[in-house]
Amino acid sequence: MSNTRKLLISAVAVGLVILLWFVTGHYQLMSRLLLPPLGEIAATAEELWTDGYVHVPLWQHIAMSLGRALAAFAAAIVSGVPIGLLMGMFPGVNAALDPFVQFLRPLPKLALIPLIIVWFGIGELSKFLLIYLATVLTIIVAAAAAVMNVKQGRIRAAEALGVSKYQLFRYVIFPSALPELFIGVRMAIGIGWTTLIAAEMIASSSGLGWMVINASSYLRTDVVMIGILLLGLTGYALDLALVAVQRVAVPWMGKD
Amino acid sequence: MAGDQAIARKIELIAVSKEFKPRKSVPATLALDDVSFSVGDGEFVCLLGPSGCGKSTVLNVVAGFERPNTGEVLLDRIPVSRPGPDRGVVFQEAMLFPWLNVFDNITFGPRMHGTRAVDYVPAAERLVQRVGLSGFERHRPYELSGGMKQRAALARAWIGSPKVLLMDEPFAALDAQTRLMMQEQLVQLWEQSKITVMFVTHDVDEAILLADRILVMTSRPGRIKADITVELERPRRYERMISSTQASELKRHVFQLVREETLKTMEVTAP
Repeated sequence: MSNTRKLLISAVAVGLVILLWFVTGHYQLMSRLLLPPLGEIAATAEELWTDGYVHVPLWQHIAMSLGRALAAFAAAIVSGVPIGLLMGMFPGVNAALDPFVQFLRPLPKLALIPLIIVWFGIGELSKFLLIYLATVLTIIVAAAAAVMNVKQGRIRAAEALGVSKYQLFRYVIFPSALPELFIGVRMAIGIGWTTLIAAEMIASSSGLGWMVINASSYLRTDVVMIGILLLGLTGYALDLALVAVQRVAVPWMGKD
Repeated sequence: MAGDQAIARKIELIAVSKEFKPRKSVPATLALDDVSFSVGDGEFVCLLGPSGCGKSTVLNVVAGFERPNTGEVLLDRIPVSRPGPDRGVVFQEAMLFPWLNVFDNITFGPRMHGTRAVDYVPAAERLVQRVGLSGFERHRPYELSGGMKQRAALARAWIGSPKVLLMDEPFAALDAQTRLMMQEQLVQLWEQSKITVMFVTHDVDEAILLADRILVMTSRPGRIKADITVELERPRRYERMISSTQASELKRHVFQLVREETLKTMEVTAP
C-alpha cells in the first residue's frame, strides 16, 4: 500500500472520531461533565494558552514534562544500551545482572514511589529516577536480546574474514543489533512517557501529568481532556522523531 | 589419489568425529564418524550427500567454526583451531553486511586488517569487474538480486587471497539459470587462480560439472562412502555434459550412491 494511501486512511479514521465527538457534543448526547463538547475544549485550550493553568502558562507545563522525560530518556539510553550490550556479549555479566533487571522491569513503578520519596526526597531527582527506571530496564533487555539475536551466519562470515573480537563487536554485532535496539528504545520511551503522570504525582506544581491529576480533583474534565490530548500528541511526536532518526541510522531495517 | 605425494596436501582431515548434543534431554547425534580424507593443492573437491549427512559439518570444522570431538584438521600441515582469512567461506545465504554497500562489503576483510586503501582498492575494482558487479559498487546488498549477492559474497571471500575456498551450497537458493551462470563463473575464477576449493552440495549435476573429485558421504553418521575422480575434460559445458555418455554414466553411478543414502534416512525416520 502506498504511503499517501495509508496517510489518507489514517486521516479519515481520525476525522471520523473527531466528527463523532462533535456530533455527540452538538446534540448533547452525553453529559458535558463526562465528555465536554469540542467547542468547549477549544475555548478552554485558548484560555489555558493565554492565561495558563493555575497561573502557569501551558507551554511551561509542556516544557516541564518534556524536560523531565527527555532527561530521563537520554540517561536511560546512555546507560542502558551499554549495559544491555555487555549483557548480550558476556553470559557472566548477564547472569549477574539479569535477576535484578527481570525483577524490577515488570514491577509497577507506582509501587516504588514511597521508597523513592524516602530515599531521594520529593524534588526533581525523584521524578527523574521514576521515569528513568521505567525506561532503562526495557532498553537493557532489548539491547541484550538484540545482541543475542544476531545471526550466527553473519558472525561466522566476519570471523572467516579474520576480524578481531573487538572488530567483530564494533563492525558486525553492533550494527546488526541496531534495528532491534531501535525498536527497544521506541518501546521503552513509550513506557517511560506513560510513567510521567506517576512521576508528577510526587509533589509537583507543574507538568502535563500534574495538570491532569490536579484538574480531575476539581472535576475540570475539559482540562483533563486537553492534558490527555497533549500527553498523547507529545508521545506520538516523540515516536515520530525516533522513527525519523531510525530511517537515517538504520536504512536497511526490514529489508534484510 | 590420497597417497599421491606429487600433489601437496592442502587440507587434511584425520579421523575427525563430531557429536552434537543440543540439550540434556536429547541423545547426542553423531554427525561425523571417523572421517579422513585430504584435498590436494589446487583441487576442486565436492562433498556430496543427502541433507543431514554432515557435509556442512565437515566444512564448518575445516573453517574452524566448530571443533571436532576427536581427530584433527590440518591446513598446510598446521592444525586448524579457529576461523581465519586463510580460508574464504561462502554460505548458502550471502551473509553480506546490509549497512555497507557492495564495495565496502567486498573490501571488509582488508579494511579490518588495516590494509591501506591504495593496496586493496585496485584489486577490489578488478574483482568487482570479474564477478560482474560493475556499476553496482554503491548499491546496498538488499538492492541486489540473489545471484548478485552471492557474487559479492564470493568477491568478499576472494579478495584476501585465501589458501582455500570453502563453499556451503552457495548456489542452492538461486534459480536454475542463475545457478548455471554462477557455476561457470566460479570455474573460470578457479581455473585462473587454481585455488583449492571445497564445495558442499546435494546436487549431483552440480558436483559433476564442477569437481575434480567427488566425495560421497553416507547418511548420519557421516562417513566418506566413495571417493570418485571426475575425469571429464575441462572446460566443461553444461550443454556438452547432457549429451556426453561418459558424463551420464558417471551421473548414474553417483546418483545411485546418493540415492542409497537418501533411502537409508527415509527408513530411519519411517515409523
